Amino acid sequence: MCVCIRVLLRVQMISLLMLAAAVSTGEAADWPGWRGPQGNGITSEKELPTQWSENKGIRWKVALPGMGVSTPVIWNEYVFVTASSGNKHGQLHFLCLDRKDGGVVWHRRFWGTSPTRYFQGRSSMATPTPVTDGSMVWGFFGTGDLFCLDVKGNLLWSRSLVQEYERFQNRFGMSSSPLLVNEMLILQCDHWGQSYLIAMDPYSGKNLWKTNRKENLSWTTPFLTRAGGEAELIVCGNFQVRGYDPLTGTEQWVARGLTQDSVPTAVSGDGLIFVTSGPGGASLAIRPGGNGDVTESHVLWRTPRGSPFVPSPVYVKGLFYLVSDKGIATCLDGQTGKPVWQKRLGRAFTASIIGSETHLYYVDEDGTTSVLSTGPDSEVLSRNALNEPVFSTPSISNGDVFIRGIEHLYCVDGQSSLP
Amino acid sequence: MVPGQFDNGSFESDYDMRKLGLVLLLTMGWGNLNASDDRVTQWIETIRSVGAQGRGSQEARAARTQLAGRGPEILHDLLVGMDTPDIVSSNWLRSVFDEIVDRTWAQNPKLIPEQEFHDFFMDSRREGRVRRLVLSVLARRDPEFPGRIIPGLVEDPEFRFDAIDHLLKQAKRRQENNESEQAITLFQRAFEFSRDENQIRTAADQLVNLGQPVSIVDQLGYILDWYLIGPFHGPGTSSFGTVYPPEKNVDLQARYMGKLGEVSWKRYRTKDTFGTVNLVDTLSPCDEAAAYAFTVVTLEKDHHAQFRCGADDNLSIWLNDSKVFAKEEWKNGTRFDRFRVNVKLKKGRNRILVKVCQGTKYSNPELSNLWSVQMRICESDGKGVAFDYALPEIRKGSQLNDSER
Repeated sequence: MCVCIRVLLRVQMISLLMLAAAVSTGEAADWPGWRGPQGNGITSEKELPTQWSENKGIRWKVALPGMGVSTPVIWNEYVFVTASSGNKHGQLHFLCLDRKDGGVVWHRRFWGTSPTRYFQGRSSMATPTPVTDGSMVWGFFGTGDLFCLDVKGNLLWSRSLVQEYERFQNRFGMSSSPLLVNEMLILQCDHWGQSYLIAMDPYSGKNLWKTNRKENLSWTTPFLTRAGGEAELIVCGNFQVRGYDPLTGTEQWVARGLTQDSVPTAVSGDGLIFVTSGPGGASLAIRPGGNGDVTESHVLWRTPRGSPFVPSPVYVKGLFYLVSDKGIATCLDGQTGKPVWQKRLGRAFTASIIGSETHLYYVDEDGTTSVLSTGPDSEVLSRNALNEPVFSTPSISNGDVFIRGIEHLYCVDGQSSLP
Repeated sequence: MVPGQFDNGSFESDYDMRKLGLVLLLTMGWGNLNASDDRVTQWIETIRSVGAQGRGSQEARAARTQLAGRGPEILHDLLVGMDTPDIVSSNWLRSVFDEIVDRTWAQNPKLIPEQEFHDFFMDSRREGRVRRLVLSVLARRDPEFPGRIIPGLVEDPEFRFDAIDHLLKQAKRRQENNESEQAITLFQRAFEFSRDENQIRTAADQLVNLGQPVSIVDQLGYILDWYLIGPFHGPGTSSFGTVYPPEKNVDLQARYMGKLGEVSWKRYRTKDTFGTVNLVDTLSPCDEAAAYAFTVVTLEKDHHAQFRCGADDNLSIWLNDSKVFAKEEWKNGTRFDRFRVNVKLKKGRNRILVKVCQGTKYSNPELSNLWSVQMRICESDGKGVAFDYALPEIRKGSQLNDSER
């Protein structure tokens, strides 16, 4: 790729990130992929529901086929969701629902190339979250299959990464979600075989770049940040986190300090990158823009307090919020890592925290959502129970909250559930 | 009159003209049908030509659009097109197949070509997933169809599991109705043909309950009798690539310096129903190590067979001093038939050496570091191969028994 094109793409990427950052106007937003419009679990919307139950505040509840932990993604009237079923979960499902009433707009079924092991009852081949730009939707499955469909459900292209490279070896099933940024579709494929990071042209599926990684098995998703002014792709993995140039896939820096099993996705804020891992791991705050091994030079603080194994954290107004798998919610000062508060919420958590500048949603495995206010004086505003287990991270769009239980997808009606 | 041939260069009557017209029409129509079939074939081939990195997708989209405009007359062509190990092209064709089936079903389900579908389904050489797709359509037409057909498919490569599942349910119902003889017959049939761990265990347990004990070990061909040695020290994950002394030469009299002190070969016969040797119990709990298991089996004649194994962590196998298998995969657990390797066993004695590594300790303290191996010798369809042991005896005091574990 010539230098001029690289510069142009870099300018475009910065513009895109600036535009994304500018959408903090409180207007309704889509939730186009893993962790929302900015990949950090936070929406700019302000009017969000805080109270519901099985019998109240639910606009619709629909049964989903098979099993899946992927987050439903929303664009305007479309709700896209994936699932898998059948022997070894080799039957893949890609659905579009109508957000008004949960009706099935289309339902496509595909075969998966190479199912892996998975966590019975908690995961399947449909753990990665799809991503959409409103005209197309991309879905990645743990079988190694990647599909691009238009919003009418027509197949545009597909790839089997395991037919092209090697089959995935992952005892809990692949979990990394595709990241769509600046006309690149980026996937992290960490497993016991040769791990790699790959960027594709989202319109054709053709490789733009592919970088092998030394790490083996992990379940995290790349995160794009411009915390340091330049765009950096933050990729967590075994024992360390790496920063890459998103345009070329070239590694820029590495910081050691994560555990062997890396699951949560990074976030950023106020000029810092935040990563965490567990169990028994630590959270780190890293200054961006480094070069080489930055463990000693760019890690601002490190603390073991409250580190989760699975749920991803959020960062809101100077505070870093975590929830451990065993139900302890922790708030740390973003600049110092010092604890601000801790609370015991539910019994166990797999879903990641999401929210807004004023409210955070913690959905536990029993299906109860604790809604907390943000800030150093955070309070539990409500606890809202659903009648089925939840392992999937919810999504927020146009005032509604979408919660995927083990069997059903719920739409919490933003209008009827406002306080 | 033949088109193109005229009496005196002119038509004799309007009737002849009409006949000529009809012939011409039929000829052109038949030609068009042939051309149409050729186009369907061409479109399917275009889709089957999609390659890596989405190559050919644009052409595939165009072909897909054309195919989707057709009707149930091309469904069999689509099935044949999907009958390929290439999942990518198969999924393209499936998207067309599903669309045409749904549309046809809405118009008139009887237009689905049932006999063609039935023949495709019954052909065990076809891709199993495509046969399952066909089954779903046939079951839509006739919900009783699977119940009539599946139970007879106990040796079918795709539907064996489903057939055995049906047998076990039937047997259970008979058992609950105190129809013991019929239950025994059904459980025995399930036991004979099952190749699934849970199904064969269920059948065996019920036969024991009914006073008809069977041997899973014999049925599946598990190796029970071994010599074991270890642990050898392997820091981190180095043990997989490190050559320890047993790999150079199996000397049952030898002693070596291991990870926890001196080690030597010890005789061990597992009592586990599925032949699992628990190396933590038999040798020692430890991390970052390797151990070996050695046995000698004899066969009456040369035999092409399979080794089917599970190991935690990873596995290497030597047969008659040649390495036939090596798989490095840490912390994945010993699972039934996880690894399969085709081997040729010779008439008489066959030496089998197995290496099982142990990785690093789990960072999650709730997870214990298991270390085990199981291995069986079977036919390609999973039925156990009969063999005898020919393990040499070594000096007194080298045999593990229950009190030593």
